[in-house]
Amino acid sequence: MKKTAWVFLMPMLAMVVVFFFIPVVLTIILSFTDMDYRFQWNFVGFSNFKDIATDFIIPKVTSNTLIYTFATLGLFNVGSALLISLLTTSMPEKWGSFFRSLWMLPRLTPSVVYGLLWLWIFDPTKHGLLNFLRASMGLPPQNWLYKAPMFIVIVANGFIGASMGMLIFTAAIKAIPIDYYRAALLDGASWWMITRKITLPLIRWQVLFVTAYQTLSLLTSFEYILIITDGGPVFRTEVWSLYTYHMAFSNYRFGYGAALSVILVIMGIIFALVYLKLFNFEALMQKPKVEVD
Amino acid sequence: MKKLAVLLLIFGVILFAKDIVITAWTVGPDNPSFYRFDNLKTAAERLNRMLEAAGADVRVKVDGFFDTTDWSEFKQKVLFGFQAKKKFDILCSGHDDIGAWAEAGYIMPLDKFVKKYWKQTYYDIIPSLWQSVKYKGKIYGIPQDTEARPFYINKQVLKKLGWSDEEINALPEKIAKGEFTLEDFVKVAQEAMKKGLVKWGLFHRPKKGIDYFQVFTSFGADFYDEKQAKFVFNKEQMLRVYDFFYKLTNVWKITPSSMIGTPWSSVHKEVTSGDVLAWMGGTWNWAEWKRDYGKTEKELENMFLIAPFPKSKNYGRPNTLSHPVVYMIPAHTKYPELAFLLITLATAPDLNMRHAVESGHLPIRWQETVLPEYHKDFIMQQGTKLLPYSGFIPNDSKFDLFNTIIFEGIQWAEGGQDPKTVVNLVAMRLKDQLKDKVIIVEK
Repeated sequence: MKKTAWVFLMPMLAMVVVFFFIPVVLTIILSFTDMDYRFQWNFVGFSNFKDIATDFIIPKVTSNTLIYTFATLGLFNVGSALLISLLTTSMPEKWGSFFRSLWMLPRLTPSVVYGLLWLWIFDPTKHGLLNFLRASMGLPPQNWLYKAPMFIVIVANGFIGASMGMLIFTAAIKAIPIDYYRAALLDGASWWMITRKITLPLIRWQVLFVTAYQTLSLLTSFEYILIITDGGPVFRTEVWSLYTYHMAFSNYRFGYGAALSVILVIMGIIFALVYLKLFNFEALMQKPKVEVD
Repeated sequence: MKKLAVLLLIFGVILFAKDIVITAWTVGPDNPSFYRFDNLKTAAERLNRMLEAAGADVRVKVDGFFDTTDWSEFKQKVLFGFQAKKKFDILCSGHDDIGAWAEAGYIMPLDKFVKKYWKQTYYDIIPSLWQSVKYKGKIYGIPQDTEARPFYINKQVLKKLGWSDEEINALPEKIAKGEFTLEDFVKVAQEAMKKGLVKWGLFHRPKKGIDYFQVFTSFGADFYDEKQAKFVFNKEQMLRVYDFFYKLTNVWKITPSSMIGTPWSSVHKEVTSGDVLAWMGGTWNWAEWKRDYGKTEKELENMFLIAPFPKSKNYGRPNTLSHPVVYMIPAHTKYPELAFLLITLATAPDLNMRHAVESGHLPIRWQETVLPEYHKDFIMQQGTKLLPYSGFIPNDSKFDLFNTIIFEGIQWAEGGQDPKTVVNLVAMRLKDQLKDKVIIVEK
């Protein structure tokens, strides 16, 4: 039996090794080189890490990363996702499905088209959608991408990110045995009481999963920021992953970029461990007990 | 019988002719520059006709692409193409890439080829262009085009401000002589905005690029030491430059604070709709405006004056910047001779001229200046007049990184950061990233 399991696992394991472990090891090795556009492996010890420690853009990039990650997470990827799931499972199924489908629409749009759409909406000249509407009301054009760039990238990301959590939470809520709700209703519990005492505790595992998954995803994703603001104006939306990309693929400092990404991986691991502790992961993973009085 | 033998020979040649595919990676990114690729295809057609006439059993086919996305994406593609040893035999990019690509051994020196075809073709190239294709004394590229970056001034606005035709027509000359300075321009721009004739006084490119280096020259700021092959960042000189950018958006407010980051299409729409007094652009914009923004030659001629970029009152000189696009040959190609022959044929005066006319660039050969097309084309003639004020950016392998950091400073300054702080931040960042490749001059 054990042998058969290994036979089935091997192809996937090989893929994980080739496409994950080897690149990770290479990235770590790369971070100790000064590789540039010449692609030469010149080992420079901890020089890249020392440079990161003295790079005065790093504090700004770090705070941007934290704001971007946790605001998107709190407001959309977990917050809105949870709210939409709770609301749409509390209404007739027909309407619930309709609203969930609406939230799925951004997810169906190709990333570049979606990003360009946001650029067009917030174009600071009269040619942008919002400024065109303002002009029709006799109002001067506004430059939102300059005034609130972080807010815009958070909202742009959030509209897409919320749908994943929404689907998982909805499925989890629907899997809760209906008897709990009936019993609570018989006892006269309100919607809020039911949500707090029954729904949320029973979907804690899914909330942990979405929170951890989306944190790691937000830490490493930057495509919408790249398209909408490219980290600007003046580093105001430059997050860690985008800074890594700029260093490696715009400035061709691959060694420095690799060092930045190693730190990003460490950050991801720290966040994952904190979540496991916060959500009491061990208790969640224990086998269910049947209590007999 | 003889006829039959000839026919059989021709059929044999056609049947057994060997096709050699030469792959060319070319870039606009402006749409009208498509002849950078198409001229190579025409060159192959011409070569094939010669081969056919000579009874050779070889034919050449040009494959590849013309990229219109943007410079950085194209350069990224090329860099990874080099590394992956992708099949491409001709490369067309900016001359400023020569430093990095030659240093890395990605492209080959072309001196021996140039020497070979000197008497047929290359003697005729405008001499100053050779300076832009050399790295450490060797030729690594063949100029494909050049251009000037005119200061486009909306003369209709000047008219509305009460300027006479004589005054308007004399303005380019006054700028060229340094009698009309940047400070004078700012006053005119403020007046035009105050009177509601334009929404903005000055637009510049909304992304990183080399155009900004014109402002450095206008303020007398040096940025490269040729002898040491090092970048220079003179704090005192650069303070003037960053102070100018700071004042543009924060004090004089003749440029929108959102300038950097505005989509290109919106910038061009604003400039061509007459909402802006002046545009720091390039000769190729003329072709773009006609092709992509619905403007006619007449409308553009009526709208714009073309001048060098003005000097500042106390420093620098009036100037423009050329950025020749060049053909290069990757070191890993199997067909360097053939690739070079195609480049040479694509450098024919008629082919190069059709590119210049279509894309708003300037000729690279003296013979082109006697063609009738040259004398009919307004922007080509006006652009050529600017060439005496022209310079090039250095062919240095680290230029792109230097440019990136300098541009970050411009963003800071326009974003409202105090220019003194900007200078210090940029100096720190340059030292951090370029290390001993940059000389920071404190005073």
